Amino acid sequence: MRSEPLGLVFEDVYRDHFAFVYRKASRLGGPGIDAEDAVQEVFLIVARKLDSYDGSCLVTTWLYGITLNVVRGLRRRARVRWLFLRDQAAIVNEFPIESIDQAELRQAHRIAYEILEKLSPKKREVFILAEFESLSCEEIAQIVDTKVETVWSRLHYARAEFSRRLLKQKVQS
Amino acid sequence: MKRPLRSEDGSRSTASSDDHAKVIIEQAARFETTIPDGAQDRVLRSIRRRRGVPASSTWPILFSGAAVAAALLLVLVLRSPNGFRVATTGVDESRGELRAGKRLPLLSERSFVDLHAAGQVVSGAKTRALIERFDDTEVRFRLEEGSLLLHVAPRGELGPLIIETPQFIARVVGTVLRVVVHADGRSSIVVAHGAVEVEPRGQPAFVVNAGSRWPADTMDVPDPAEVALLQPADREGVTLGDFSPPSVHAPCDGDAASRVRCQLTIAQDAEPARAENALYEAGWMAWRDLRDAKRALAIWRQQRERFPNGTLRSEVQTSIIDVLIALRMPREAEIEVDRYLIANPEGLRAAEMHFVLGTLQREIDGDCRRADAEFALALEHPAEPWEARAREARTACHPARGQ
Repeated sequence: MRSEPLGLVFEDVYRDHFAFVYRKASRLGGPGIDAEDAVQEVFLIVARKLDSYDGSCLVTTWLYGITLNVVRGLRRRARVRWLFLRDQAAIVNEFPIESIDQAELRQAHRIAYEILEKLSPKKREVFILAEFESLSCEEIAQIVDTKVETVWSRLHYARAEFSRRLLKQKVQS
Repeated sequence: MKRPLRSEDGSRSTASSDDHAKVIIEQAARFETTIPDGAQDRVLRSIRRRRGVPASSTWPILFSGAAVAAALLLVLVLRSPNGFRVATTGVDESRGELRAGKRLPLLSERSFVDLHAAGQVVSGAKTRALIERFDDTEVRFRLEEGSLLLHVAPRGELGPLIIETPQFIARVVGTVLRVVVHADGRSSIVVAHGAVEVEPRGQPAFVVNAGSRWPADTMDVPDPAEVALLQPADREGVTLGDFSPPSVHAPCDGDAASRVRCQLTIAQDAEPARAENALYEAGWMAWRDLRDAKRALAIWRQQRERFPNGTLRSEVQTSIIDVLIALRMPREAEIEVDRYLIANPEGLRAAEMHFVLGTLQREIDGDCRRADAEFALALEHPAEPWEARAREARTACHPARGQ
């Protein structure tokens, strides 16, 4: 793969940002998508578009945007996941020795994503970027390509819905 | 460490007024995904493999059943530094240079044209279009009749890509869109990703954003094979649904049961594309929100019967497989996976489906006699993570076979 006008080489971008993209794809997609699938799609796009990256934003912001689009696409497609979630659960069980703290985090993660699955995609994205990724609304607006006010609005409703659903779940259980 | 967000008035806002929610969010945010050993090398190998095959002859095949049929007859021509490649479903061959005055090939079938750094175009059957300009400062097409589905790579410092039609001029700086000109000159544009500046003849320009169309009442929709010809990596996550006209009905509100009923009502009297979308949505709502898998299955089966060649047929098929597995109906699921593989033998999800089929057969049979062959087939369509999982499954199968 070739040198690019900004001096970026695909292999370097891949090596430096693989973990970043993997973690973002995991966060944005949740347990419903396969992070490796997503990462593969993201870097295929990166490989094709590296020459059009103009440096007007950070590479990580650029990658964030691509990752978000890929995850949206993967989530939109109805996928055969059920079997593999079961497989993943089996893999998780291969690590029985886990600190109490880690187990709590895993449990919270599971609960949070169960609720997030019920939010609309737009609210869900903004919620994850704000709450889990700690991005500012300005940064989120840039990534999801919308106005800051819209991000605030979506975040407000997402938080309210999250709390409401969590409370409902708690009462039911 | 989490950085607290500031609200519009500048004061610190908490994640939620609910303490429990705050704790869950805080803990979930601290949960770090572990990257599996070898994932980085594995994914890179897959990327190299996928990039190593000529794009035009591979991607459409990989994406959907519709594309499989089309791409079997794919013709790939000219690969000069400033040329365009044309892939079509028929026997026509075209070759040419991307230069001013050059016409896009007038073919009886839809065709894919790679514009290199500028992006990609899928021109509809019998489309008449002229390249008026093609250089670093501007790319300009004149669409006289037919349709162009474009993925325009971000133009950055370069000038915009312009599409002229009898009714408007569209300026694009990087997006996915479709422009149609009918025989009587009526023109329309649908933007599926990004934004496009549209200037109707003799009127001020305005911006058409993703999910919007101009004129607003146009019902122009691409067919699935057209979208399938656009390479998946260039769709920016766009699917056929993004080109569908908005509902003329009021939005579906209320509780889950009301929303399902609302979608089913839309499906009864909306135009086909919208009706198909509504049925698909209704199925998901029934399953996800009402937790009624049987109802979801009934809705999707109804959808498949009504739209056997619909734009969402592949999604419906995989959703049916999904729900059958959830309903613990492995034999029915097996039949559905078989149908999928017959329609998409070399599809993008072939490895995944062979793995699913093997897993189902192992469950039905209680042994690996049939399943092993499916796992082996998954290995013949190398795609991670299914390749690794199929290998693991085969390894697990061998002791069983020995017994």
